[in-house]
Amino acid sequence: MSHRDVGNNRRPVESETIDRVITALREPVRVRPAWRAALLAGIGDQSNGSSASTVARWSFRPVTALAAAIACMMVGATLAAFLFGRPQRDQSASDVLTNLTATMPMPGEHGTASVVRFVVVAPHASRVSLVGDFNRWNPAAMPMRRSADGRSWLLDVPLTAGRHVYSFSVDGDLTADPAAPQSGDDDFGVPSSVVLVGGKA
Amino acid sequence: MRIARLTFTLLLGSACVRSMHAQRPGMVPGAFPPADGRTQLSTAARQAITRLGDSLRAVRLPDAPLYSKAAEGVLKGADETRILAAVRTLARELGEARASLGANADEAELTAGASALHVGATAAMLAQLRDTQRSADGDNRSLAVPLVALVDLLARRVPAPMATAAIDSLVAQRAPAEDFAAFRAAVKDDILAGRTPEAAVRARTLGLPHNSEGRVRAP
Repeated sequence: MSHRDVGNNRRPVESETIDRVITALREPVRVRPAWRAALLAGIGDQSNGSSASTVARWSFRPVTALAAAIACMMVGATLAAFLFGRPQRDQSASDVLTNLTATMPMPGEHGTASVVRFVVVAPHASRVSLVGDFNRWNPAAMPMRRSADGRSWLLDVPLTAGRHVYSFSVDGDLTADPAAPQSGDDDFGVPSSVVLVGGKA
Repeated sequence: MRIARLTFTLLLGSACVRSMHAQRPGMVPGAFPPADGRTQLSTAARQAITRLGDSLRAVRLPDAPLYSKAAEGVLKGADETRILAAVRTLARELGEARASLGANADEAELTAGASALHVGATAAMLAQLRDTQRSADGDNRSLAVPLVALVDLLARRVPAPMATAAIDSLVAQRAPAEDFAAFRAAVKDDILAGRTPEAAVRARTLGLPHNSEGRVRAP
């Protein structure tokens, strides 16, 4: 005899029992009138609750909380772009190359930026950038552009009047500008170069 | 209710921005280098550099060169001790340069003067160049160009008295910036061609006319 046969023979008895239990459970629960009144009063208080409790409930609703998070990220990203984006954009090579004509430093320009063209010959390099005190020595800030003949790399940079120390980063290796004066204070074992822009005269 | 929600959202956004700001090493006050995966300075080192910068500003000396020096050290992979030593030395040399060049020296003159002191010039040599400049032009011309040329000669191991004398002669002649550049480039080429630094400077100064005081005249 299989287990299935046993189950089929007992089915009518079990069904009667289950039906009686269901009927009993469907009977309304008798609650004392005082408890009922207290419960209804409590629900009324919640629906008319204070602003603080309302804000708290609003914060934890899934859809509203998601919307708040998205709004927060959008506001944050906008403010971050406003606060941090502008200096990077001002220093980018593409802006300089399309908007300004490269010149040599012009003595006598008081407090104004002069555009200085930096050139380094590195025909076999795959990545060259300009680093210096004008970009906090950040090798990612000023990538240089390969010249048309493929031998040199160049970049035009507007610099304020003064003495600027710089180097080239050629495939990650720092090298001084062979055509420029040495900075002299190469405390870290790698020489740097100097460009003077404008000034008193 | 909407105002409360809007205020809450803006406050949350502001907190996000502040958090992002605090996590960007390059954006903290003092202009330390940005994070690029290289060694970063510890908090103690940053504070030490900031204190040095504050002390320079208090005596109206530029503090930007200190932060630039620290950033240069980070990029060049120097350890923190070396970076701090370089920054301290630079702070001291900036003070000495101003003492030699005068209170009116601008930042370019001060940083070039500090570099000259760093590579072997003395305070007396800087003062000599300043005096010559004042005699020739008053305070109207900058000493930055002569000092940059002097530093280049010293970095190429020209003896300091010889280099100073050559530059001083050009200053006395009121030589333009192009003459300083030409002189420096000629000496460099001679050294690269195999001459000793002394011989290179001697040859280039002998080739120049002298004035009645025996100083080299600009070409």
